[in-house]
Amino acid sequence: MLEILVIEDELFLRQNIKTILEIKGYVCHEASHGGEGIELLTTLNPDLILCDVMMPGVDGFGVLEHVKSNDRLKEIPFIFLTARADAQDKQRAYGMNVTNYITKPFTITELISAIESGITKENI
Amino acid sequence: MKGHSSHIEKPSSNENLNNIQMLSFMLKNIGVAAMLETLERTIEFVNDDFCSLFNIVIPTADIIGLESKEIFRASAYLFKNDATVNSRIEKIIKQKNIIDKEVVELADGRILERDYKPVIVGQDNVVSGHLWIYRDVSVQKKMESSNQSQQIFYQKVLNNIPADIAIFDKEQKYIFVNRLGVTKDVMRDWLVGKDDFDYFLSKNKGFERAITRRNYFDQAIASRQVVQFEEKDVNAKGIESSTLRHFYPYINEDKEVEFVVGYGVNISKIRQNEKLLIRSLETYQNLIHNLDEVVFIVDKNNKLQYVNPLWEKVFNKSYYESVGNPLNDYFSPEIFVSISKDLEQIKTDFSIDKIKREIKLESVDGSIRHYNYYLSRFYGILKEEVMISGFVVDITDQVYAREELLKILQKERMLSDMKTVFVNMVSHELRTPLSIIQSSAEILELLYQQENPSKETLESYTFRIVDEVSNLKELMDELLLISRIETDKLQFNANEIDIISFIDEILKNNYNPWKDGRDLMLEVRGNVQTVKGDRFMLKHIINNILDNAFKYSPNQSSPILRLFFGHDSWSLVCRDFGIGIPEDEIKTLGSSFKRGSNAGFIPGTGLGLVVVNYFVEKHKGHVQYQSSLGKGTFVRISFPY
Repeated sequence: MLEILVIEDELFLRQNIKTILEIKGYVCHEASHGGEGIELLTTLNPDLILCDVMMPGVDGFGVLEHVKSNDRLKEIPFIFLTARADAQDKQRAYGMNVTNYITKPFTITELISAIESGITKENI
Repeated sequence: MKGHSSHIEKPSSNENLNNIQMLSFMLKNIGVAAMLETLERTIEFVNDDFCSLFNIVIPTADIIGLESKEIFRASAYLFKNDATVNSRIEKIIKQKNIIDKEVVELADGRILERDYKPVIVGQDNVVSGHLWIYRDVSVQKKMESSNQSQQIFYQKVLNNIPADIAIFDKEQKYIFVNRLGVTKDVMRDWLVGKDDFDYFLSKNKGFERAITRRNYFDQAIASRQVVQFEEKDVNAKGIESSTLRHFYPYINEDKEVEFVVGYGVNISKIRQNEKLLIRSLETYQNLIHNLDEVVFIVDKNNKLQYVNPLWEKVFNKSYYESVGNPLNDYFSPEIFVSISKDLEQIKTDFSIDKIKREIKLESVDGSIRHYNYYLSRFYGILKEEVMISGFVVDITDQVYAREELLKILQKERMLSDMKTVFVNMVSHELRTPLSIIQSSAEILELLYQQENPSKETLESYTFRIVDEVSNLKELMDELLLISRIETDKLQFNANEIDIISFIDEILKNNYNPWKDGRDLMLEVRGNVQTVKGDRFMLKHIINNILDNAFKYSPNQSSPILRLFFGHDSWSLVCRDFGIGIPEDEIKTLGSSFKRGSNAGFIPGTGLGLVVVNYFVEKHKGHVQYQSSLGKGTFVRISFPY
């Protein structure tokens, strides 16, 4: 079973994503903010990371930076989940080698296809 | 003997021989060429001078008795008009009239003077012979003619000099006056030997000018130096003319004044130009005098040479207190550092013509004013003397206008930045609930596809959707409020309010209890009064303050709410025991989207206090915050009655 780490500060949204992922057959690990996500990653080795951008404390970019600078984690597909839709953020994210960028609100289809193509791309 | 007949006694006896010998000696040594002939024209006597004048080589003693006709014929070639020389002599002899100083020109250029006297002997006046006297006057004649031509030359020169020239004797009588001085020849001739009194009398004019001229003339004689004075005339057309007159005494070898040269030069044009110059000078002076800028001039040593009246207003020192003093007396040393550098540069760096700089100076009333100063270089009367002109322009109003504009610009920029942040914020605040709604709805769809979906599970997602929609509605309301505030569309409606029951009502509806079960009591101090205020705004203020107090103090004791009725104002104090606000962030409280950096996961738009501040301001009240990190926050809002 593929494991996905979801880092999202909004409780209800995080819970909804978890429900969706579990229905779709993934194992979901939750973190309510960037710091917690990084902490989980010390022991966790997920197949994909789904991360919100705007969070208090360590934001999505902080988490991405941490992941990309860590040899063990840097190959893990990393998908941004964000309410920010401006091109500048998107460019910054792709500049940092993010796998995909999903803008809120999103459909389940969008979410799952991003996850699946992310995992496949990295596997090839 | 000149002009008289010669009477020679005829020698008749031996006693007379001595006389004849004496006469002949006299004639021989008389210094002129002399020849005496008889009526029959035989030579009676001739002297050596005669023979040498006419190139006669025969000894004088042998000539006597020869025919004079023959002698003249032989010497005729010597004469310029040799053909007529003898006929003239015949004619003189025939007429027997005395000839005095008849000019005879010789072929070689010499000029002779000829005298002829008929010789009358005895009482009967009978002519008995002819006496001829020749004198060589070549030298005198030549001198005379050269003197004459010289005189003509100088007169010509004097008559053609563009000045009226006169020569006076020591009594100021005219010796000479040139054509420009007196045009008419008759008048000019008449004037010689007369003076200016005669002249003006002849012209029927008063003596004033003659008297003035006499005074200057006397000065020139006394001082033995040239004296100048100006005479002004107005012609028939009313045009003024000026003549500069001079009396120039001529001092001779004996160091005495021999004559005085008077000459006048027409200086009307010069005077006219001077007038124009003065007028243009006055125009410029007037311009500089009334200029709305300070104007000053310094010499190469930075000493003030000129200041205009505005200088006094700016530097509080008059013209007389300033001119001659160094420029640095009028500036503080810090400011003069740059001025002196600029002065040095404009004096030495010829690649630049002008220096401009902005300075601040304290004005007479103590206020700070802004100026631009301009320095430029020019040359004084002496070419090598470099001078600096300075203009100081008050640009305070411009500077203020500029600063005002900058402030507006900064405000505009800030507003624009704020709008961007606001839009992002709104976008985030809208997208997150929308994501929850979207995902909840899709989960519901998935759950319905399952065989036996749990009713409770389905309900939880339905509630989640309803909840988020209600949150979205709240956010929309708040945004609408902000939008109305920003566009000034929210009206302030003040009414009398029983504030205690007003607050109690709010507490009952929203806070007793709060979501987490806590509640709070209103404490009242002072003499209760009715207050004036806008119900909508006051309600919003109280809700916001209490929401914050509860929100930021999770798991702590209830906040305290007190109402104070003071003498001039009433106030609402809310104290909580929550997380507090970092000290350096208290100042920015109430700015759009500013939230405490320690707010963590506590929801908020960062707009609440923006609205509070605005509403309090509308009531002419004011908000005061005190906070201690980790201990709690204290908010006091005061309103006038």
